Amino acid sequence: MATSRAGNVPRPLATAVACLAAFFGASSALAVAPNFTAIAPAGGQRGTSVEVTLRGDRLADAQDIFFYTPGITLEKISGAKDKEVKGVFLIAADCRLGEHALRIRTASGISALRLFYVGPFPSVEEKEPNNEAAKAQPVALNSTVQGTIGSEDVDVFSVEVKKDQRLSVEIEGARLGRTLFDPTVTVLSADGRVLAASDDTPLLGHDGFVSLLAPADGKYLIQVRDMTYAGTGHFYRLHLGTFPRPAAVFPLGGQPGETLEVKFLGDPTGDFTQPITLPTEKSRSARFGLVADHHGLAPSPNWLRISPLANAPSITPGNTLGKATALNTTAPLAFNGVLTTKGDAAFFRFTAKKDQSLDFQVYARRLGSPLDSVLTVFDAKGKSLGNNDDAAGNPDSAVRVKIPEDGNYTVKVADQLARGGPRFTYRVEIAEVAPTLTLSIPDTARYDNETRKSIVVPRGNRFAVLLNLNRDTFNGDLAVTFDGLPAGITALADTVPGSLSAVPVVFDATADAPIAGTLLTPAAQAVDAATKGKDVVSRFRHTVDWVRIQNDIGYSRSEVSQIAAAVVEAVPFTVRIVEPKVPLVQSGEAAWKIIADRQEGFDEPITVKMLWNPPGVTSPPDLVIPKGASSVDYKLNASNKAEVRKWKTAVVATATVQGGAAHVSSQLAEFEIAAPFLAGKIALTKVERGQTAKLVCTLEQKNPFAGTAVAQLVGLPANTTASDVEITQDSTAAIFEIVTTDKSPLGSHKNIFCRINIMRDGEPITHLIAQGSVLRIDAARPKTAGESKPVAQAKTE
Amino acid sequence: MTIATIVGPALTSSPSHNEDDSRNGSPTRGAPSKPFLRYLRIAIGAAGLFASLAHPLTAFAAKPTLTEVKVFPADVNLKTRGDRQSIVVQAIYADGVTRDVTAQASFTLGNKTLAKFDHFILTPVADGQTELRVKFQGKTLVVPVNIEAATVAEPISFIKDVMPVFTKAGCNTGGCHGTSRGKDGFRLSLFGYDPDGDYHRLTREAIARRINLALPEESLILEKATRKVPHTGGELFTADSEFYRTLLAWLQAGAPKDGPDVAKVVRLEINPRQSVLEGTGETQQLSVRAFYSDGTDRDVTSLTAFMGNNDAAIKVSASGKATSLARGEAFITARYEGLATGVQVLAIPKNLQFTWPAVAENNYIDTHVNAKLRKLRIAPSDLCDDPTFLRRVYLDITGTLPSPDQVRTFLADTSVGKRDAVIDDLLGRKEFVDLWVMKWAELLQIRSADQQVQMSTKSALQYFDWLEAEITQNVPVDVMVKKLLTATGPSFEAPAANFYKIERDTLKLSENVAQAFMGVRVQCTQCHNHPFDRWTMNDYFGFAAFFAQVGRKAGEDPRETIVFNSGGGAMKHPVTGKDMAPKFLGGAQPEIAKGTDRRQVLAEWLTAPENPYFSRNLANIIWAQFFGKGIIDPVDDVRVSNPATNPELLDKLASQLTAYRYDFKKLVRDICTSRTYQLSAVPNATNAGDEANFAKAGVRRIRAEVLLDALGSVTGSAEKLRGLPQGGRAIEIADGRTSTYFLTTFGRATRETPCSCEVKMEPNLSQALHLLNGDAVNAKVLNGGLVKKLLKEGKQPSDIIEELYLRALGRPPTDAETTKLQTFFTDGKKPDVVLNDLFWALLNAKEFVFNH
Repeated sequence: MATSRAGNVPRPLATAVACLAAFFGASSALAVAPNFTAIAPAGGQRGTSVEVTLRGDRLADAQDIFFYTPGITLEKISGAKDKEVKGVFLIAADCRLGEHALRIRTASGISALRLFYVGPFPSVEEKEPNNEAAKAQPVALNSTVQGTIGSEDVDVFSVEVKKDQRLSVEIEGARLGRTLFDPTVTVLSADGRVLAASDDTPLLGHDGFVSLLAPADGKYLIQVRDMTYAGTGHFYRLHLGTFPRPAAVFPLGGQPGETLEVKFLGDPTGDFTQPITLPTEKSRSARFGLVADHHGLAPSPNWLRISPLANAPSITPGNTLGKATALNTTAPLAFNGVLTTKGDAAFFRFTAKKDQSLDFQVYARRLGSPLDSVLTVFDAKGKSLGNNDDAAGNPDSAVRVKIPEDGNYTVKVADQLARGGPRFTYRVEIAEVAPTLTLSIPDTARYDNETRKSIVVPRGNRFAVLLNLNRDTFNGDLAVTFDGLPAGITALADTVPGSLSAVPVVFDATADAPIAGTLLTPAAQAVDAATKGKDVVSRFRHTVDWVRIQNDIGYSRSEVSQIAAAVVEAVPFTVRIVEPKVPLVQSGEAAWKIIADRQEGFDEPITVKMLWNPPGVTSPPDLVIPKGASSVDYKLNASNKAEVRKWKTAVVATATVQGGAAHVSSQLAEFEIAAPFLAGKIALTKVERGQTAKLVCTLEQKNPFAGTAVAQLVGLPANTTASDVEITQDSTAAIFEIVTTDKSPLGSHKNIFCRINIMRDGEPITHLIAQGSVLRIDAARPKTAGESKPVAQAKTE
Repeated sequence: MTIATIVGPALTSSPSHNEDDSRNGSPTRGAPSKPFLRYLRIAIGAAGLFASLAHPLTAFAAKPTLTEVKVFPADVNLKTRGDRQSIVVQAIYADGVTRDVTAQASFTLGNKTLAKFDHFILTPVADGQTELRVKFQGKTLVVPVNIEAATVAEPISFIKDVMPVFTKAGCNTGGCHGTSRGKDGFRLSLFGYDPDGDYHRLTREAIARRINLALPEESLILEKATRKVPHTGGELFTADSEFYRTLLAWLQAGAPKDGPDVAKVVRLEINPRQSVLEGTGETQQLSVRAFYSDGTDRDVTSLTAFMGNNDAAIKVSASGKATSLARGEAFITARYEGLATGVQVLAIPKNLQFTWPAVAENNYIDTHVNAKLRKLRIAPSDLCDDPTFLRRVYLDITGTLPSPDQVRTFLADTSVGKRDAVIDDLLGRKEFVDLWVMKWAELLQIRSADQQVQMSTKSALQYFDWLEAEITQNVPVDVMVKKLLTATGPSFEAPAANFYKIERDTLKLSENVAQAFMGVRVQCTQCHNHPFDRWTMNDYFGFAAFFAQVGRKAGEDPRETIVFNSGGGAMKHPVTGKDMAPKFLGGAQPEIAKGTDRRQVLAEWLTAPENPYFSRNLANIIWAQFFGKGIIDPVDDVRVSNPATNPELLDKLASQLTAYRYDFKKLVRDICTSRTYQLSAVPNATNAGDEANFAKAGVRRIRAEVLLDALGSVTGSAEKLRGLPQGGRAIEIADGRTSTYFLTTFGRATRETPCSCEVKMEPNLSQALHLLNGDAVNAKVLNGGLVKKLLKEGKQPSDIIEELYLRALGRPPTDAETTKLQTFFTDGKKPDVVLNDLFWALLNAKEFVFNH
C-alpha cells in the first residue's frame, strides 16, 4: 500500500493532541490491552449455536471476535465485564472439524490468540464424583464430554456397546492446553480389565485415542487422567462413540483438484477407502485435513499434503541400492510409500538433469505417520549426495542437492530406528528449488509471541512493527503492502533493499477513524520485474507457542497466516523524534531527542525503544522518559562499516494506561549515515607518574569542514587530565597535554580515543577517532642511581 | 510416659540413658550394654535366656595332627643373573591351623652347581634344571628349579625395578608426590599409573635437577630419600638398602628409559592363599610373584607394598610378614606395578577350647557359613523363635508386618514345614515384587529431574512402570539387564531407553554400569590407577569405550530422548590421547565389527554365566537384603582390598543364581529357608564379637519406606503420598523425587546415584525425636482410632493389649509385661487413654523400629 514516505510529521501535533483530549474525556471505559485467558466451553458441535464465556482482564469494552478460519460466526456478544464477556458462536453445519483460532477485539485493543474446537458430536458436561469405576458417569455414544482434570484426578465414564460394535475414544486435551497437559485414555471392561490404553500418538501428539471392537455386549469404562497425575484444572473434550478413528492414511498427498482414493489404516473394522477431491489451493505448502467418514465421522482429521507435484504411480520399492525401483520419471516428482516391515528401506530411482537444484522433502510425521525418516540421495555410482535425519527440529528429513550431471539418481527412505509397519506411511517430494518469501514479525519480548504483534493503532496516533522478510534462494528489493487495513489507517514503509531482511513499518490512524478491526494478510513483492523472485507469493506467519518447557523449548504451537489490525480508542500520549539535521558519520555517534507529548493529567513514565537499527548502528535497548518528563536523548553509534545512505526508523513507546500497556510509535524518521570528515591515530604514549606529557593524535583530513571543531581526549584514567583542543580542516594533529598526579594509576590504559565534534547547523557531527589507543603511565624513576640484583630463590622439594 | 520403659526406650539411646535404665532396677542389670539387646531382653522378658543359649564348651585336648605341607612357589624359574626366588613353607593341621615352618623345614638342592640356596632364597649359578627337596615332619615336597641365562646380567629397567621402589617406599602415594599437584614441586603419578610421565618428570623436568648422571650418588632423589638433604617426607630408606642400590644402579647406567617392548606385569600371585594363625605373635611370611607378558615370572616380594585392613588382629610388615595380634581376620593387599592382589589371614586364640555344635544344615548356605565358622572356632546362635521368624521374614520378603491373625495362625500351626510354607506364600505376593521394584528403581536411579527436560516426571513414571512389569512377569534379571544395556528407541515408547537418558555422560554411565551390575567402583580410575584395586586407566577407558557410540537425539517432545547406536565415536585415553578399543572390565578385548552395537557385545559378556561379576554381584545384593550386609560389604564396592568374607558361599550363591536362570525368587527361597537366616540375634560366647560371618542374625533398623508403611498399616492411618492413590504404600513410590519428611529423616534413597550408600540405615537422633514427638506416631495412633474401635467392639483391655502387641511386635505380650500393664488400669484412668499410650510406646520401642 504505502511504500513511500508521506512526510516526517504527518500532521501538526497540536491537532492530534486536541483530538486526544476530546476522546479521552469520552472514553471512560478505556481498557487498553485486553487479556484473553480462557474460553469455556473449549469447543462445540457444528451446526449449532454455542454460548461461550470468554475470560480474562480488561474485557469490558469487547466489541468483536476475529475468527481466522471460516465456519464460525459471532452471533452475539453481550454482558461484557472486566473479567469476562459472553458470546454466542454460530457454528456452520459444514464448519471444518478441529482447531479454530480466534481473538477478541475491544474498543481499545486486540487480545492474544486462543483456540476453539469444533466437533461433530453434542456435548455433555463432566460431573464429579466420577473418580472410580463404581462412580463412572454414564454417557451416550457419540457425544463429547467436556471436563476438567485436577491434581491426581481420574475421570471415569461408562458407555453401553454391543458386541463387535466399534468403540472409539479420542481426547482433545493437550491440543486445548495452554499449560502442559498430557492426557492418557484407557478403555476397560466393566470388571476393570484394561482393554486398551493410549498416551501419545504420532497423529495427535500427546492426545491419545483408542478404537476397538467390543468383545461383548455391555458396559465399558473409559478412564481419563493426566499421565503424571499432575492436572491443574485442565480442560479436555473426550469424544466417545462408534465413530472411525483411523491412525494413518495412504497416499499422503496429491495435486490441487486431484481426486484420490484415500485408504484409512488402523481401523478395527479393517482398512477402508474414501474418495476425496483435493481443494484447489494456490499455496505451495498446504496441509489438508481429511475427516474419515465411515459409519460416522471422525472427530478430527487425518492429514494430507497438497502440492503441485504429480504423484508417481504407486509401485513396490526396491530394498537395496542395487535393486532400486525405477520411477521412470524425471524430477520434479512426488511419490508415496509405506515402510511395511522392521528394517525396511525403500529405494527409488529417477532421472534428473545437470544443474537442477532439487529439494528432497519427506512428509511423514508432519502428517501423522509414526515414521522417523532418514533420507539419502545417491548418484548413479552409489555415492551419497546428501543425507538427513531430522530437519528444522522435525523428524521429517530434508536434503537439497545440486544435480552434477544428467542421469539416474536414487533416493532412499528408511526409519531412523529401522522400524516399520503398515502405518509407516510417507511421501517424498522432489521439487525444483523455488524461491520463497516468508514474512513475520519478530517477538518483541522474551517468551512472548503476542506483545506488539497485532496492529493496534490508537485514534490520532501511530503504531509500528518491524516486519521480517525471509527470502529463500532469491534476492532483490521488495515492496511491502498491508492491503485491507481498517479505514483511517495508513501504513508507511520504505522499499526493502536486497541486502536487508527487515523493515520498520509505521501505521498512522486519523483522529476520526472509526473504531473497527479486521484480519488481513501482509504481503511483499519484488519491485524489479527482472528479479528471480518476481513471481513469489509471500506468506505471512505468526507462530504462537502454547507450552514451553524450561521456558524456552517450544512444545506445542499454532500458526496463523493473517494479522489482526484495528483502530482503537485514543491514548493520552504521542511520541516523536526530532529529526537530526546533520548526518551520523561512520565511527561516530549522535544523540536524538525523543519528545513525548502528554495529554494533560497523564504523567506515567514512558518507555521508548528504537524499533530497528540499520546494520552497523547500535543503540541502548530502551530508555525511559520519567514520570512527568517530556523528552529523552537516545544515543546511536555507527561503526566504520555502517552503510552510507539514507535510512528510516521509528521509536516505539509504551506506557501504562488504565492498567494495560499502550503502545504507540513515533513518525518514520529519516536520517543519514555519512562518511567521516576525518580520521586519526594516536601512537603509544608514555608518561611518568606525576609528570606531564604530550599526546599527539595525528589527523587524516578526508572531507573539508567549516570553522573550528573541538577535539576531546576520552578514556583517561582517574587523576589524569587533558584539556580539549580546537582543530580546523587544516589541522594535521590534535596535541593534548596529559597531566598526571602521583595518584594516576600505573600501567597501560587501552581505551583512549579522541572525540571530535564538528558543528553544522547548530548540531554536532561527532567523530570517535583513534579508538583503542594506549596511554602508559610508568612509575616515577628512583632518584638515586643503582640497580637492584634479582634475588634467586632456592626451591625446595 | 512410664509405659515406654515396659517395652523399651525409643530408637536412639545415649549411654547415660542406658545407665538410667539399669539403675531403675529393670531386668537389664548386669547384661551387655548393647542397646538392641536391652530391648530384646525386656521384650522377651527373659534375661536368663542368654545363658541357656551358650553352647556347652568341651575341652579340646588332643594335639592336632599335621595334614599337609605346602611350599611356595611350587616351581621356580630363575632367569638372568640378578634373579632370585624366596621359598615359604606352610604346615596345615587337622584343626585348620597353619604355621609358617620355613625355618623348621630342611632343604636339599639337587644340583648345587646350578643354584645357590641361602636364607631360604634361591639364586642362579649356571643354566640347567634341578630340584629343591623340602622336608618337614616326615613330609617331603619337590620343587622343580629351572635356570636360564644364569650369567647374563639383565639391564636395569625403569618400570620393573625403579618404579616399584617409588610405590614401596611410598613416594607416589596420595599424601606425598602422588597427589594430583605433587608435593613440594615434585609430582609422581599416583601408584605409578603413568611411568612415561614419571620418567619425564624425573629426568627432564626442572632442568633435570632431580638426577645427577655425572655424580649419581648426589642425585636429589637419592639425597632426599635418604634425607641427606631436608625432605618433608623424612628418610625413606638408607644408603645400604636394596632400594638405594636399585636407584643408584639405574642412575649409574645413565637413567635409561625402557624400550617399547618391555615386558608388562599381567598377573600377581600371593601365597599362601590362606593362613590361620593360632595365638598371639604367630607369623606367616607372604610371597608375591609377578607374571610378565613375555611369559617370565619374578619374585617381587621385596618390591611389593603390603597393606592390611585389620591391624588390630593381623599386622603385616613392609617385607610381607603377617603377625597375629588378636582374634580376628584381616585381608592383606599387595600392590606391585599398578596391580594389586590380596589374601586372607585369620587369627584365633591359642588353645581355644571349642567343640563345633552339631547344628542342622538346611542347605548349601548353612554348609558354607558353618565351614567358615568352624575355621574361626565360632558357634552359630540358636534358631530364632517363631514370632521373631515370622516378623523377620515378612519384613524381609514383603516389606510388611504380619497381621495379628497371621501371627496367631502361624504360632498355632504345629506342622514341621510351616516356616518353609510361609516363605513360599510370601514369595508369591505382590508385595515381594513391589519391594524389588523399589530396590531396582534405586539402582537405576529412577527419579525425575528439576528441569523436566533432563528427566521428566512422565519419563520417570514410564521407566518405573516398565521396571514393574519386568519384575512382575518374573523376567530373568540377565534378560532385563540386557534390555537395559541395549535399550534403543524413543524413550516414551521404549522406557528402558531411559537408562541412557538418566545418565548422559559416557564416563559416569560406564561407572554406573560397573557399580550397579558388577558391584565395582571404578570412579577413581578415571584419573589414576585404582589405589586399592587392580583397575588401571586403560581398563577404565577401555570399558567406557563400550558406551562411546550411544546416540541420543531429542524426540518431538523435548522431554523425550531417542536412543540409538550411532555406529561412530570413540573414547580417548586422556594420558595417551589414543582411541581406546572397547575392553571388558577385567576381561578380554573383544573383536567388534564396525557398526555393531558395542552395547550388545558388552551385554552378552556381562550377563554370560561365566562372567565373574554379574551373578556374584546380584547374589550379594540379594543376600544383603536378608542379612543387612553383603558377603562383600558394601555390596557395590567389590575390590581386591575388600574381599568376600566367605568367597565360597558367594561363589555358590552366584552359581546357583545362574543355574536358576536368574530367577532370583528361587535364591531368595534358598536364603530364607537356610538355618543361617533363621538364627536368633541373641549371641553366644563365641560369636558375640563377630559381625562378618553370619553366626547370628543382624539387628537392622527397618528402612524408611517399610517403616512408614508399617506405621500406616499398624495404626490403620496410612499417609497420602504424592502420585499414589489413597492407601498407596511408600514402597510403591515411582519417582525418586517424591519424599516426605519422614522418609527423608529415615534415610530413603534419593536415587541420585546407583550407590548402595543412598539408603541410610543408621539410626539417629532426629529419627528418634520424630517418632517420639512428631506426627509420625502420635497422630497416626489417634487418627487410626484403633483402640477406640476395639473398645467399641466390646473388647477387654487385656485382649486389646494382645492385639496391639501382635500388630506392632508380631508377638503376644509376655506374662511379665501383662502383669505390669495391668497395674495401669487400676488407678481410675480411662482405658482408651492407657491403651493409646501403650500403643504409642510400642511403636516407639526399638523392637518395633528394628528387624531382629
